[in-house]
Amino acid sequence: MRRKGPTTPAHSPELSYRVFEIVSPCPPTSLGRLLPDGYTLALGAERLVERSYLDTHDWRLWTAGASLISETAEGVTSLVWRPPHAGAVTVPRWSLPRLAADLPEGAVRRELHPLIGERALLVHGSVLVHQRAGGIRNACHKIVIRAWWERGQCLDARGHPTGRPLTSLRVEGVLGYEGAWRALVASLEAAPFLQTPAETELQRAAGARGRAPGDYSSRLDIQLTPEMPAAEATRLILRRLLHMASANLAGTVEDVDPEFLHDLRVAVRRARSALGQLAGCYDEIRHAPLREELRWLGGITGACRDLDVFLADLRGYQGELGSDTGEWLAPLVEEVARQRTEQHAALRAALTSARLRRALGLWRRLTEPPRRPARAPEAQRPAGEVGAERVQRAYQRLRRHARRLPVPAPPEGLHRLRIDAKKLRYLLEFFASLWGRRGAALIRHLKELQDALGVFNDLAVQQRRLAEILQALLARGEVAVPTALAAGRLAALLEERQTVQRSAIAERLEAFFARQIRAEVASLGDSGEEV
Amino acid sequence: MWVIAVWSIKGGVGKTTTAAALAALAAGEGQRTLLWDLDPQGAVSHWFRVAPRDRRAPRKLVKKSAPLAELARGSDLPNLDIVPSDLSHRAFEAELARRAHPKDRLGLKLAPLASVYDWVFLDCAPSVTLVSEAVLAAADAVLVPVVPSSLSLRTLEQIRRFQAEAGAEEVPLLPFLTMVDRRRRLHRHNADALAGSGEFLTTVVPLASAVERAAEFLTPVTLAAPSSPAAGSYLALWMELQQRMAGRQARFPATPRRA
Repeated sequence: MRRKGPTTPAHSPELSYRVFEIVSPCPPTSLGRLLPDGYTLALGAERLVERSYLDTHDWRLWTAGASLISETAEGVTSLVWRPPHAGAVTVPRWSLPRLAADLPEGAVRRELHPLIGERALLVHGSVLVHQRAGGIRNACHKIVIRAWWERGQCLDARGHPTGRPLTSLRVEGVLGYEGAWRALVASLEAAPFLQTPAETELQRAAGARGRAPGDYSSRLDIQLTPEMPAAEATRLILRRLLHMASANLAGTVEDVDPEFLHDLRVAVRRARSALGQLAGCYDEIRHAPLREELRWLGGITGACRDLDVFLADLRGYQGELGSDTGEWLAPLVEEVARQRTEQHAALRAALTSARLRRALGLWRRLTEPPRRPARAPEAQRPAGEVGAERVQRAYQRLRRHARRLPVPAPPEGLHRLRIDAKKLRYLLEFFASLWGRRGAALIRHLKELQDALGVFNDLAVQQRRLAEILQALLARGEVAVPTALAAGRLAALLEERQTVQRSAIAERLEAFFARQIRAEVASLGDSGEEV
Repeated sequence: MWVIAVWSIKGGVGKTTTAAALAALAAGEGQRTLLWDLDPQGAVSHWFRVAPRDRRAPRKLVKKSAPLAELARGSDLPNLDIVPSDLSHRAFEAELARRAHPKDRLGLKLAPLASVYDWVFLDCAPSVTLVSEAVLAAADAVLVPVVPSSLSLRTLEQIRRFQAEAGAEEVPLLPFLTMVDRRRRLHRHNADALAGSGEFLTTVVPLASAVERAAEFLTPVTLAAPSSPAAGSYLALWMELQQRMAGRQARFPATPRRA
């Protein structure tokens, strides 16, 4: 999926990259006959290349229209980066990167990092390719189009060739030679034995591993209908959340990157929230064991996630506070990292336990189509009606709690608001497919409030954690005076920021309870009355 | 984005060889690189077989509305683009003189490319002109190849004087010894004296037939004869240049594109 975007200077919008499948036997050299007069095809010697497609678990590069490919030939690996809106960059002799930080300083890291953040790069598909690389030269012997003749076969997850081998000609335009590109592509498109492959190489390679581009996203995207019984809507919500939790389990156990645990935890929290807020829509007795298991899952994932967040924040503050203070914070960072390793070991044990397997089995059974209609009091009510009603109820609760807050608002009160806002957000997301743009706009407004509440809460948690870590180190006599002073400076900074954040929350609360938003929330239901 | 000018008033001291070698090394490390041929002789353009795509190029080079990227063309090497030149570019100086703030024109052309290219090398003509002043106003550093002869050393002094007159003292001048023939007593003597003076980069590029052969094949020496002493010295120069730039603030810093 390539998206058209603004043109950046080093890339001509006309230039692109095309792959033609060679559908009848044809030696590579005979391809030269297809070229317009004045052009010659020159290909190098054949070599064996293992090409792998790298992306994050949630396909951030593919979603952005970018790709990162590693090519290994004769034991040497090179990377090819194709950003969404600029020309390709080849990084020769570079090992497989795990994170954006493992890439060389320069264009590749600069363009890739904003797309993937701290997510790990994983191999989503590999192809074994017999390749002859070269180019099409003009009369001055200048390469005006890069070209590769290839015969490739996808590799399965165990590295074994699988599926039909595909012979192809890949061509890529060179900046400043758009005329040659147009003439060449026209010639190749007219050739009877060349055709555009039905699937991209990435699709075939990912398919050989049982994956497909975009097959996992942390977006909920649950397709509901307004008339659907509420029990069925609840089942579909729980099914999607089970898929999300399962998709992040292995990555959390293997500790690939912190986002696996984040997404797993969010899926569990959303499921708990769904069961809590859609009470009456499902069989409470049947679901009671799942509620208990979700509570357990929420508990075991909490400590490690908190430490992940605190570790990332501390590292950020190290950079922010300048080299001296930052360096003196290093013992704190090490202590948090040590605690995090301990917590992850405990988490791994829990996630590979029989209890976890039983919990997932239970979750799965509850998401299978029921043999008979659910008998809960509101199970057969239309999903559209129930969804609107629960959203309105959650909105009113948030508003009520916000009104009761004293000035200045205490941290506990703001924490409660944050939880209320989160529950409302989950409900809006569960039923988003019913409300289209209206729902999306409400989520956008709510997100602004949540961001302010979230930052305030993070700052409160960070201060508490900082004190705990410092105390732990002091008890062991492992704190140097400058480290304690640096921690003091950081604590003061956090408190100062919290004060600033408090006024931002007040502004956003006012905006979120404005007449227009209240009317929007009311319009989700049938009554149309302002809530 | 670092902008490095390779400049000397004296001809035949290896400016083009240096610019081509450094640009090829940068591109070979996966850095998006632009090599801008500012010499109407068009030697570096010929070297990479790239001709200007537009006869109005000299005018476009100074016009605010014409992006430099429209004049750039890809070389045969991955990651390396060239802004080519030919004899028509002798009009560049006159076009520049006709405009307001001529010294800022090169910088204006380069600024939009800051998030695209990592390195820009300017292969300058062996002259002292308005273009040279514009180069000094746009470059993060100026590499000056110096042959260890008294005439070449005098040229370096002239460059320093010109730099002071142009009010561009803040631009680091990075002279380095090149085409050093250690069989010659004068070269040996001057090279030994200057290399340890602290005024010059520590890299010394030897006089080598590999460089001439590479030019014959229209290929940078670092690719044509990668294991030759000359290629080794250009690699050392590239590493030394990166060290010199590390920790400095680029004139045109890249702004990362947000996701």
